[in-house]
Amino acid sequence: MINCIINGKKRSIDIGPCARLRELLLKNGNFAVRDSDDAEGFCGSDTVLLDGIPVFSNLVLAGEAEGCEIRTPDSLGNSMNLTVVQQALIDAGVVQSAYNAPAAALLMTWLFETNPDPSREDVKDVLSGIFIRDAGYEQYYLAAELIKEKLKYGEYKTKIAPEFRPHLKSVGKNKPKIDAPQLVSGERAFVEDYVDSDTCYMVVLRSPYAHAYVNKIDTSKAEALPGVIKVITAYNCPDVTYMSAGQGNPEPSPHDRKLLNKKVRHVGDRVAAIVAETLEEAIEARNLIEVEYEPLPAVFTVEEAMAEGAPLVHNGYVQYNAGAPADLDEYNAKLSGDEREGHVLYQFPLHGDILHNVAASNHGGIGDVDKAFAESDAVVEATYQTSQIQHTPLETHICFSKMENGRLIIYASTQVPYHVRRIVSWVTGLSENKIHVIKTRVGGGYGSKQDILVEDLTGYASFVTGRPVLYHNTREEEFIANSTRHPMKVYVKMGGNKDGQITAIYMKVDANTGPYGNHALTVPMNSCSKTLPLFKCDNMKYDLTIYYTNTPPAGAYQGYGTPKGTYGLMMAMRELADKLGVDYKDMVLKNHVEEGYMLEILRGLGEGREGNVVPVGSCGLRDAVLKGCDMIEWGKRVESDDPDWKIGKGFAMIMQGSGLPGLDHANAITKLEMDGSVIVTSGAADIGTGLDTIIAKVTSDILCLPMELITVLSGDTDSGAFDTGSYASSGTFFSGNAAVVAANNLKEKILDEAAYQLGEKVEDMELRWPGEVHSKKTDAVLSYYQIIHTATSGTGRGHLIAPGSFTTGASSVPYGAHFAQVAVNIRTGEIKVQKFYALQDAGTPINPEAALCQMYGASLKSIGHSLYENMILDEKGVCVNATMTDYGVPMITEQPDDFKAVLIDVNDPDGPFGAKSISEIACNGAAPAIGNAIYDACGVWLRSWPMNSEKLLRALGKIN
Amino acid sequence: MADKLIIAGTIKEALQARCPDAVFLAGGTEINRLNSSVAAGTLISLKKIGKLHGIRKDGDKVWIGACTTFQEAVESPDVPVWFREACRLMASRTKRNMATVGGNTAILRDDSYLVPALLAARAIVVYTEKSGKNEECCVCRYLDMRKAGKLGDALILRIGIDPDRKVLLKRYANTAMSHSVMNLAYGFDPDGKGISIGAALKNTGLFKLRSAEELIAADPEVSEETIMEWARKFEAKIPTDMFGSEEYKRYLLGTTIVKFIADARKEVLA
Repeated sequence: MINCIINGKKRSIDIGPCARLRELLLKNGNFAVRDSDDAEGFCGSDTVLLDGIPVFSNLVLAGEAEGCEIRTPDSLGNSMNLTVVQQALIDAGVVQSAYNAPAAALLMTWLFETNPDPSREDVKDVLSGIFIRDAGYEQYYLAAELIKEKLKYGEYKTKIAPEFRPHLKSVGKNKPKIDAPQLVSGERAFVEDYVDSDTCYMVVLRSPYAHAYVNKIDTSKAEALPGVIKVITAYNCPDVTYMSAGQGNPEPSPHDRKLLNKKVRHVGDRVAAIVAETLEEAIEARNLIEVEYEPLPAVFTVEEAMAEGAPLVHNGYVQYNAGAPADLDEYNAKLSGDEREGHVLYQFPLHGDILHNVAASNHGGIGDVDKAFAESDAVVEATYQTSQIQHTPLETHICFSKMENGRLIIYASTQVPYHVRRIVSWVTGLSENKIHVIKTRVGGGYGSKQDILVEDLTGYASFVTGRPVLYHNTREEEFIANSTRHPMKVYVKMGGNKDGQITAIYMKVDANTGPYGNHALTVPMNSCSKTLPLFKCDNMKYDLTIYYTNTPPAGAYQGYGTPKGTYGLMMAMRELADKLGVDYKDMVLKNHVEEGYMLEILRGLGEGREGNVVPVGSCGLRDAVLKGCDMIEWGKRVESDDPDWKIGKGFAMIMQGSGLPGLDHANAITKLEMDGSVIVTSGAADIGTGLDTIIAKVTSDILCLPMELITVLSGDTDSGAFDTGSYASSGTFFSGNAAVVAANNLKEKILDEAAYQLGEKVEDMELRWPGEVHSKKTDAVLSYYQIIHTATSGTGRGHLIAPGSFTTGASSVPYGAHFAQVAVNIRTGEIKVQKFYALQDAGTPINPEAALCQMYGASLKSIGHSLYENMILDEKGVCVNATMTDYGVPMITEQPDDFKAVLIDVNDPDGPFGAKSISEIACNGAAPAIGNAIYDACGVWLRSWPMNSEKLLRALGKIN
Repeated sequence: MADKLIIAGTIKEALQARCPDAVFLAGGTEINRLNSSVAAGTLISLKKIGKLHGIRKDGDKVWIGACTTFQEAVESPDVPVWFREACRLMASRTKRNMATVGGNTAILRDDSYLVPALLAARAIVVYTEKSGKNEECCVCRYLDMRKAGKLGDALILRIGIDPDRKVLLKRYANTAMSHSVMNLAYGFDPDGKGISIGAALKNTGLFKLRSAEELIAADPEVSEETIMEWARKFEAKIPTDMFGSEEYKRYLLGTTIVKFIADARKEVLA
């Protein structure tokens, strides 16, 4: 029994002294003290105050807390009664996916309690033990200013963020994210908060081999262990082949994996799943499983995969649901057909060739590049290599599932609830009406939760055992058994003339998808489809090949393939500018696309089918470039006092998309409730970026109703209608537009009903704030309450409910330019990003403060990708840096001293209230901006990620 | 995890509790963390031993209690700037609130935050073994004895440092929170003499770089080429690993010492 004071109350907790303090707190119900790093002392999710000092509760033993006073994040205000600190964090926009928001609120509270006037350095210091992946850290400084002002003056003096569209009351205004109070106060929000007390635990036995057949599994000892409920292997689970990519059906990804395979294809691949009453029993049982492996030679790089006679990652047979080639039987005859291999199913041709480890490919272009190169004044060519990068969401992948009355209920931290439902349906054989997916708040996704990586197995485990089952990735599993950013080799050849005109571009992209083909085509394709359309160039060609290997799997990652393509293209362009004697800025300005330019290059760049050729729509690219050049003082050299340090500048123009026109689909249902308030049920999946708030804001402005009278329910497959999910930057554009359609439909119904009730013509009716209908003819007024009350009375015309469905062929492309100033130490190879400016055209920023945070967060993430983040595999395919400390991510200490995000005001004709996407594009600029700046500083090109000190020293000739 | 926790109230209690399966537990940032290098059935917590806490000046030394946290040292006006900087190399404030000076010294990690600085500073370690008798030696000697398998049971009581000694620091790591590939410290007296160099080389070990010190002592104007050549031939086995190639590490070792020498000269002249 440990006696201590928790949040001011004396408590006696029955727990062993060697348990971790966090376990004690969980037992006491303080579930907002979370764990993101398996007690590594890195992420800070487990931060508490122990006798008034911030500590990591995972690194303190319960026995050491005897007699101590402990304060946890949930001791601060609740969602109905927020403290000044919590409110300021919300207002500054930093409460996004928010897994660490309660811990950050506790630290900021402690800071102000111990130092009412903290400096920027003090804020940096107190947050130095907190990892924030989504919003970055810059706006925490703003939050600190807001707290200071509120405490001193009773109100904020500092402007939080620019506001847009003065004629609107909610859209474009700095109004808090609607889920932020729940998140910052540490209320129930995430999957782990909804787990039942009788839950079983599942763990997975994973392959120690990169490539091997599983010839035999003896589970008898494990199954005999008390507490073990079920051991699932390839020999007792459904033989269903599918894929993990959460994409529209039919998916542009090969179906090439099963719940559990008889062949493992990477270190960490699933071998068996163990369900037991307790986690400890499940782990003990896992240790008792005996597996007979037949190791096979493996391939880890695209070079190895493409080599003649390379081991084949998939060597079963190929099937097509549509478009099978005529010689398929002959083709399959060349494969081993071994039953343990399974098979690869293409929904339609992706131009794969598993006989050569090719998962998919695409080739195309416009004009005549060979002729154009021959006629160019100068040509540059180089190969750029990017690395394998982990998403590192604070909340590792987790799923809780249970059976209720013959239905499978799944609590998922996912970007794609409807795709989860479909894939679990395939695996279990249950029809979709028998599966209920509840997307909780998501503690960081960044693309990794667009893959269905844990819900399939967890759902099946509940289905087959009838028991509630919880599965939660360890941090190591997050590295080795999840999806990652595709390593890519990008060869760029670019030609130009002395006047700075680019005459031809050729890209050859070889991507490594790892053992499975989820997103194999679509992610690498973005390296061309979201980069080449930046250029007004008549001759462009691309060859794209995606290879299977035995590395940990790749998949969707914020930015998809665009950061890699942008890296190659913008570096090559800077090199070409130098070769031609043209200023890089002038070359950019001469060659970028403008509104109305017809993007013929897109014809071949659809997602496995013909792409939409569209003209460039709204485009703030030129403004971003010009403004950014002014901000960073382009052309003005900066010298350091220390001769070892050289300073340089670089920038890159960037673009992305706003969902997938012609493919994506979103729905919303808007209801007028009995008191005149509104509930919107959306199929959308808010993953922390503020999508629910966007839906509330557009509904607010259309229905002339204050946001507090609008509730958004989303991500629940039972109550909502289909939405393809949050990926490909689709949320604001598609789900937001669906909400616009639904709100407009409800508006029509309200006007019609009011006209009916008033006995007037509908064209004389108008909506007015705050939630009433006004007759322009008679000046009569009916409140929404009066309208709905009458409509739902026994003699009325019934409830006012309006669905909204949105699809489009329109393409609203966000543009931008990212700028970096770096300092390079030519003695030690150290590289410091001194300044980073992100300028982006997001159309109308519906949530301006949140938009800025996403720009900061994605930019900083991308700085990390460029300079140090890198999964390192040994010669056997084992990831040797599968912890947060070994891997290395940007903390507040890594942030550039001068970091700015600027929104370029452009009103898009197709976006909801003119909005485009905001977050994903912000991943695209750092690598080329920094790479160009390094070249500007010291004259060497670093053409591979991470651009680190050893590579710099080699390039400088300091080491061989 | 251990299955027994003993909260020691005095040094005597801590020493009495020592058994083959037990280790001393200070801040917990190493022993309680994921993939800890220390495994033990019994942990003897030292936090409640008042005598292990506190910083005091005594004669020509500043004495830092073994259970003084990094953050307490950072905030102490009695501690020399270089020592505070060494503590600040642990980038996480929350971790600095927990990690202790004695713990970080005793654990002898190859990416140690403090040991290179203590070696460069020619710091004194006061420790006691089961007998309860206090012993003291320089950190260099302590390191040698630990490498020789001695003093494994010793409890560090305090660290003594000379506040007048100058120490330059340089840590190389991917990020501030990453394990360092190399943490180096260069100590010298105010007159520029008495050079001592400490090094923590990841996956190689902790070193007092005596051969480099001798080179510099023999020729205060030693050339860059000589130091770089020394680094290329430095006797330790330095692996190529996830932190970088052997050549890279040897280059960094050499060029950093060259920079230290130049900076020390400037400081002495100033």
